[in-house]
This record gives sequence, structure tokens and C-alpha cells, in this order.
Amino acid sequence: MDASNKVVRYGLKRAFGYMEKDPEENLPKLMDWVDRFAPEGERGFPVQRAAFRRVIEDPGCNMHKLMMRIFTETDQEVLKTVFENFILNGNLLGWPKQEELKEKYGCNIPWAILLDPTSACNLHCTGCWAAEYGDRLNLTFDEIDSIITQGKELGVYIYIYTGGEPLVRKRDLIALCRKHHDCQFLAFTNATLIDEEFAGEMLSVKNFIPAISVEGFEEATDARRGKGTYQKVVKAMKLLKELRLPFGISCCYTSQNLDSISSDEYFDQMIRWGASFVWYFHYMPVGNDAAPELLPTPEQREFMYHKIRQVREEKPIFAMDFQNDGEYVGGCIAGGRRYFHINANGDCDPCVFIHYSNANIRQMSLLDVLHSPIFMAYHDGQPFHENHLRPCPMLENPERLQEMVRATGAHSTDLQSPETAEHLCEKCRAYAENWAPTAERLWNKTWDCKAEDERFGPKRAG
Amino acid sequence: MRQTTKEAISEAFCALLSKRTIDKITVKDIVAECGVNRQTFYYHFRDIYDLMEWTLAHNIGDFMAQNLTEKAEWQEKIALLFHFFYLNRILILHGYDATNRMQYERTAAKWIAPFIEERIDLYPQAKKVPKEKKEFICRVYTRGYSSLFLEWVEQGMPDENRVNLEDYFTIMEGSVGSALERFQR
Repeated sequence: MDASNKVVRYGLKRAFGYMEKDPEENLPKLMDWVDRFAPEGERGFPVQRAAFRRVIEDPGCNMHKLMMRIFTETDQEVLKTVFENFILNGNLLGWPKQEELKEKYGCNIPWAILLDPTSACNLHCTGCWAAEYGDRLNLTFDEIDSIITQGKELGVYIYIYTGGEPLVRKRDLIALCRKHHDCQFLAFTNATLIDEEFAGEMLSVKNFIPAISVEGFEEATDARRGKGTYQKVVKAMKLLKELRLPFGISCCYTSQNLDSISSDEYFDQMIRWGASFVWYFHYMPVGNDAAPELLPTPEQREFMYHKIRQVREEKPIFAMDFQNDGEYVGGCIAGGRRYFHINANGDCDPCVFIHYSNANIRQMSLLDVLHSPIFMAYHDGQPFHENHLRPCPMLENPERLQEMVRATGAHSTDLQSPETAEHLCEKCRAYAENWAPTAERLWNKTWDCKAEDERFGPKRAG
Repeated sequence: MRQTTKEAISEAFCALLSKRTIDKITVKDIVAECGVNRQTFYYHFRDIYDLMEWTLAHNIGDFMAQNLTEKAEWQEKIALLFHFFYLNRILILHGYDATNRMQYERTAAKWIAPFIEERIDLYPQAKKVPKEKKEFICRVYTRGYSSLFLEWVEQGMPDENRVNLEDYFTIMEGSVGSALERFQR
């Protein structure tokens, strides 16, 4: 079925409307429509759709409980918009277009674009570059508008704000949500600027989901981010929950805080706050004043590997760990393969963590950025390791990033203190060596399980 | 404060709409006319059609608030609405194209439906009819009025007497009662 078919699209929206009455009964019907809407073959996500169907038809499984929780706790109009913008436009419609254009142009075409509306932040946290960064840079409304307009031409419907604190620019972000009402917006935010007025605007545009940074409990948060911050964040989450607005949480795990933010107690707390998802980020020793001792040990990282998988089986919150979940996305997704990053100066970085570039969006089109040397080096070099537990050209394969930066002449785009690729990669060398044996062992085990699944078919409950 | 910005944008839009049709008006024109920037426009409206819908609803609201009396019969209320359309025919005709037919219909129906609902509930039979059946009857009659409106717009909105409102009132008065009877529990 042709994904752009208006009749099918209309049917899908109607089918989604029935969800309100009885999700348990109507979800399988919605799935029938999604199957009709999805493009044929690999591009129509057959594996993912089959997985969804298994979840829908198995009330005992954890993901089923999570879906029902989201259905009953989220504003129905917002849910409809997320369904249309994220599932239909962002994936079922966008993905095949991205794949088609990838072949046509011979470069990576992203699934999502990350961008910094501003380098400014209202908090002054210990260790954060935004705190020290005096000269404030911004992408203008027109620049962001142009990025999104160009992005949609390439089939990109998902835009994620980073920073700085994106909500310093909250009026412009709402204006962009309203103008590009067919796109899904997410923002990494400290949440302290989410007040009643802004939450009301979120409810009116319906396509803005915050991923709130919370890294532990009151004491740890306030020590690093300033007294009273924790209570402000908790208040913002309470407000979102009351208005039935969906949100997630993002956490950076380090050797220091890993135990606290991966505890069952913390997961249960996040569920009580009302978060639908939690994204874990492995600490990256980026920047001249980074602290490599914060890098998790192989034991700690392995613990996270198992913990996140266990949470996905047991708790009604969707947990992801980008560094350990490479197996689901084919390794490194940066360099425009699934995403890239534009900073508040317009520099286009292959990744939020990799600040080397030959391209600035103020001087060139989005498509030219994707053809620029370091992006093409990513395109040609991916995956950087066949073991997807070693996905990154910096953290687990530091020699690869040095090579690419050297070969492409990409320069540092660090806004505060430019760092050489050698300096950066040197900090990862010991880590990469230490992690390799654990990564191999875990990876081989993953493959044994997968091979077993293929022989005996997917596991069934009961 | 927010309301006034919205109104200022809407007024600038109406000024432009009195001179030319909606397809010849850009967001740039509107923000230049009222002296706000582009992002302010998008803070309030997703596009020009959204602004058109808001303007129409807002102006109807003002007009009805000023002219509607408590005691007015439902026919008077509907006739008053059509009178508003007639008074604002330049705005409505200039603002109309293939893209916003649905919006026009929605806006008209949103106003008409409560008047009809009110009429239906006055019938003694109404108490014995389930809510969703009454809603259905209301939808059918509402659809009739909004179709008359759209047809009239398509014809370029000549004299409002050319809309067969009176005849439709007659049909409705004669048939709502029997429709309700048929749906009685």
C-alpha cells in the first residue's frame, strides 16, 4: 500500500480515534491499518511491525503494559499528533524516502536532526561548558525554520533540540512547532523553564515532547546544579503529568553516579513522576577539561547492559542506552546515517559528542552538509566495528576518528576551547582496550541467542 | 496581552483581505502590515488558513455577542448568523478557496449545532430518545445549514434572501418531531 495514500491515512487516523474508547480492544484493529499503510518489503518495517503485533496481542508482556500506561495517561489529542507525526510521518513515510534519497544522492540522509537553538543556559552547573560559555550564540527563527523546511524535503520529520538550554528560546520553539505541525519535536531540557503558560502552549501545539535531565535524587542534583533545582524539576514534571503531557527523562551515567541512577528505586521513582521513557547516555570525555575518571569501568558498563534489558522486560518505562543498544540500529547512527547535530553557531557536527566539521548550515544547504568531507567519511566508514557494542569511532575505536579528522581536514567546532582529535582520542584509548574483551564476550552471547531464535522461532509467552 | 497580539494580526489580515484574495496574501505581508515579526505570527497561528479560521470564529463570536438576545428563537439565531456572513461577504469570499472548505463548514457547524440542539430538546419526545440519536439528528440538520452556506459561498454570496433558510426552517419544524418519535426507546 502506498504510504502517501490519503484514504488510508484518513482510515488510520479514524482507527486511532477508536483507541480512546477501548485501547485493549481496538489496538489490534489499529495495527491492521498500520499494516495496510506500511510500504512493501524491508522499508515497511516488517520486523518491527511483527514485534509490535506480538506486544499488542500479549497482555502479559511488559511492553504491553507500557503501551496501555501511555494510552491511559496521555492526552488523546497529543497522542494522536504523536502517532501521526512520529509514527506515520517520521517513520512509515519518512524512512522509505530517506532510504530512497540515500541511494539517489550517495550520502547519508538522517532520520532526525539535533540542533542547538542557543548556547545560553539559565543554570550554571558544575562541569557544564554552557555555564562557562560567555558569548551567547543563537540559531535564528528563520535559520531553524529553513533547516526544518529543507529537512522535510528529505523526509526528515523528527527534530531534537539540544543546547544550551533550548527553552531559553521557548517562544520561538512554540512558533516552530505550530508552523511545522507535521513534525515531531523533542528537547533535552533542564525543565526549570516549564511553567503553566508553556505547558499550556505544549498542549495547544501537541508536537513537543521534553526529555528532562534528572540525574538522581535531591542531594546529588542540587549539589551540581544549584540549590532548589531538584524541586523545580519535580514541580515541572508534576505539571506535565497533570496536563497529561508525555515526557521522558535523560540521564548521563558516569563511574560516580551509575549505582544511584540505575537502581530499581530510581526507575520506580521515574515511573511515579510520569516519565514514559528514559534515555541513558554513557559519559563522553569530550573537551579539554573533561574528566576521564568519570568513564564507567567495563564492569559498570556491563552492568548497565544487563540492567537496561531487564528494565525493558520488567518495568513500564521505555529505557534505552545509546552506547549499548547499537545492535538494534546497526552501530553508529551519527554522521547523518540516522542523525547529526547543528550547534548554535551553525556548525554541523556528525554527532552531539563529536565536534569536528567542514560544514556550516549558514553557508550551505542541508544536502551539501551531508556531502561534506567528514559526513562522507562517516558514510563510507560505517559501521566502525562489526561488534555493535563497540559502535563509536571515538569511544571504542579512537583511531578511527583521528583518521577521519586527519583525512578530511575537519576543524574543531568547540565553542569554548577547541580540542584536537588526538587529544580527545588519547583519553579513550585505555577505555577502548579495557572494554574490548567484555564487548566480545557479550556480543558472542547475543549472537548465540539470535541464532537460536532463528532456528526455533521467536520466543512465545506462556 | 496575548489576545491583543492575536487580534492585531487578525485585523491586519482582514485589512489585506478586503483588497485581495487569500492566495495572494503571504505571512510576510501580514507581519509587515501589523509590525510584528514572523516568529510572532507563528507563535499564534500555524499558517494563514489557521488565521482565517480563527478570524472567522472570533468575528462571529463578537457579532453574536452584540446582537443575540436571550429570547431569540432558534430561527432568528440562525438567520442572524447568515446575516453576519452576508455583512462580511467580501472577507468570506476573499478568504475562501479549495483548501479551507472544510474549515468553513466546521466553523459554520460549530455555531449552528447548539441552536438546533436547543430546538430538539424543546420537543416533549426528546426526553425519551437516547443521547446519541439526538446528536445524530442534530448532525443531519446542521449539515443541511452548513451546506446551504457553502453553496451560497460558491455562488458568490448574492442577496441573502436567495438562501432558502425559511424553507429549511419549515422542513425542519415539520420533521424533527417525527424523527424523534421513530428513535424513541
